[in-house]
Amino acid sequence: MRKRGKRSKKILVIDDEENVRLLYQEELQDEGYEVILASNGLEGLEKLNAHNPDLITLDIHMAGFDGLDILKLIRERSRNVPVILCTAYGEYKQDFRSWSSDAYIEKSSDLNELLTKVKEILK
Amino acid sequence: MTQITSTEILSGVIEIANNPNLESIQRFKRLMDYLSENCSLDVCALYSLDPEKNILTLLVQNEKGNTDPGRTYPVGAGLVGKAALERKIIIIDTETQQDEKLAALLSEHQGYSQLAFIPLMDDHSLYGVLCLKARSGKRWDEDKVCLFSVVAKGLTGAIRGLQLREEHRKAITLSERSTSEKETIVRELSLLYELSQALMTTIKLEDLFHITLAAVTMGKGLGFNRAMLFLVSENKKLIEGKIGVGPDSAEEAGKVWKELAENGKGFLEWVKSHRRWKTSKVSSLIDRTVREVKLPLREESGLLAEAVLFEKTFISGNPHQDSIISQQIFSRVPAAPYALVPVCGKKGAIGVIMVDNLFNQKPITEHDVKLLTMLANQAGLAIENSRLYENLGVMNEELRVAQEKLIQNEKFATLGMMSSVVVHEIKNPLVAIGGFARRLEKSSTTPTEKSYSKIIVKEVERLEKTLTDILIFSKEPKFDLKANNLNQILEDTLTLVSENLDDTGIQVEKNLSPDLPLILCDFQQIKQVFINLFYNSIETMEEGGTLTVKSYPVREDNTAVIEVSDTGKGIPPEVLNNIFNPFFTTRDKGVGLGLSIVQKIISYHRGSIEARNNLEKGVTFTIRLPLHGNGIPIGHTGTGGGGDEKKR
Repeated sequence: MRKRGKRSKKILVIDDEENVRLLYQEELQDEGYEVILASNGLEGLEKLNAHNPDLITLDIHMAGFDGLDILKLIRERSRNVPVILCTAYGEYKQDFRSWSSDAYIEKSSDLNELLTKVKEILK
Repeated sequence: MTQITSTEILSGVIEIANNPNLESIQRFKRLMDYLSENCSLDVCALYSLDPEKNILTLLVQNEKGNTDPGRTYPVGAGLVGKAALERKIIIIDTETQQDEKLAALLSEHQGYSQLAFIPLMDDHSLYGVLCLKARSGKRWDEDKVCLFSVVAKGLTGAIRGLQLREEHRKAITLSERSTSEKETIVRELSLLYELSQALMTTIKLEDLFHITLAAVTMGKGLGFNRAMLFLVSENKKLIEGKIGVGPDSAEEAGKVWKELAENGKGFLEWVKSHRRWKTSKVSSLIDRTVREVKLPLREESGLLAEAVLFEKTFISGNPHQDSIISQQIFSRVPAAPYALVPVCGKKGAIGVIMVDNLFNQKPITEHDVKLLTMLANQAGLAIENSRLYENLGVMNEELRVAQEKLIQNEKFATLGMMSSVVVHEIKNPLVAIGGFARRLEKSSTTPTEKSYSKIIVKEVERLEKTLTDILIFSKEPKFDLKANNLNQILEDTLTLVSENLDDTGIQVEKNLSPDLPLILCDFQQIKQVFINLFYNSIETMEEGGTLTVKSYPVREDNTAVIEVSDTGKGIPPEVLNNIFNPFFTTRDKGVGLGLSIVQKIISYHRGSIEARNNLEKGVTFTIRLPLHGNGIPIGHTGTGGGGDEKKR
């Protein structure tokens, strides 16, 4: 299934829903990306430092530090890594730029939108 | 003239007095003539006493007598009065009399030599005075005076009889009159009673109007020819004609009155059995005339307004003194006696009843108006009660609507609270289920596996759609208004649902006008509108069909129009008005929020949406959005337009 021959870019998936993480991992790997998983915000920050990913997908609603707190911390550390905010809610749709994220998607079982955005950002 | 004896004179007197062929007055008249002729008298006058006023009035006199007709003497005045006062016969020979006291009283009897004033009395009462005068001739001897006394006795009996008969006649008239007065009062009281009973049979204003005016015009009621009711409007600024009752012509009036007279029923019975106004569709001239009347409630508006403002009653024989009444009420008919009576409720006048006697021109009396006033007041209270009752009904209805709205709001509030909790808990698992089902579908090797996983994918999609609807509906959306190309949004959305369209075998026909200017709108929200409309179409065309999408500008209306048509089942006409209501659905699937969201978003954009069934098949939704609601120049055709997401 994996598409070979593409330059392997690293994507960090931060989501506290295990099955969603797994789904994203499989789909992104199918697209030829290297995927690193983190199950909460703090783990995400650690993995960010350790792996220096090309892109982050960040779930907003997580227990403990939520996605917006983490995004703030990422930007405070002057990281310019592109971030796609993912949420089950629709309320941040208008504000995603003010949160200095690069894209915003509503979670869906159809991952086409996510994959399109990833592709756009990483091209 | 042959001399006749005293006996002959007396028998003549008795004969005349007992003549049954003569009326009482004629008898006295004949007697006076007889006496003057046979006793050589120039004046024979009979004065009768009015015992109540104590006045003597000339009753009759002989033909040739020249006493003033209608001459009266109070008892004690003149010689006539003196004889009555002293109850003594006065005989005077003016040529020989010396009494100075009498001299003054004789002046009015100048030219007469012999005078007699004989009181007509019995043991108890005085009935009058017989006055006899002779110009010349010898002095009356005792025989003559005796004859006069005897004749006077006879006259006394006769005049007593006359007075008794007169009193009897008066007594009878008096009692007759009081009987008819009593009857009138009883009739009027029972009318008022029956009216109050009749007014209680209904609470409907229009019925109350009819009953009241029927009581005013019916023969059994007050019997006015026509009656009109005017009421003060709710805002107290106008006086408005409500109803007019009465025949159009004298012929019709005659017919109606005859019918009513023959009917013989009481008013209440008539009201109960004969509510003609309920069946009568043709309104009378007077009804049409009255209903046209609308006047400001000001003194300048004339008598109708004055009657209300000052609670005043008017009776008039000449309607032309009031310009409104003459120009409106009597514009097409001759003038007639009329009256105005204020209709009073608990806090003053609420209207006015006008009556007239157009057909019989009978003058209207104070008494008529008094009764009309009582009736009007009773009607006033009933009308006021009815209005209160009606207001109560309106308030109840308002309360019911407010309560429904409250329940609806409660529903939304609960939905809002639920959604944030539920969506998170449901959406993430759904993403995983649906996502892996898609992977399974792609990787499955057998058709069965493929079709099963496809079912999972579709069902998850439906659940996700429902969750999205609930989320959108329960939150106030924030708008990001930008100049967007509607065609672009339509294309984007069609791409989004293309898979579903293909799966159902739906053909897409696009007719997107390249002249459509950029529209100030929220890309995501408008996209949501199209998503919902397309899904709506897809669901109604389960067996396939055609989805037609059109866009075009209408410059005259300054709008951009988008039409989305399907060839599905259509919407039952009876529910066409409900389809945009939240939670309304004709389908087994879904919560009924899709079209409601569409309407909400469109109205936020100051646009409109309507749905109509197509002539042949299916439904067309037409959306109209303002072209330059916020200063977007007309004619600026967007090519690479697109929304914020596209610009990324």
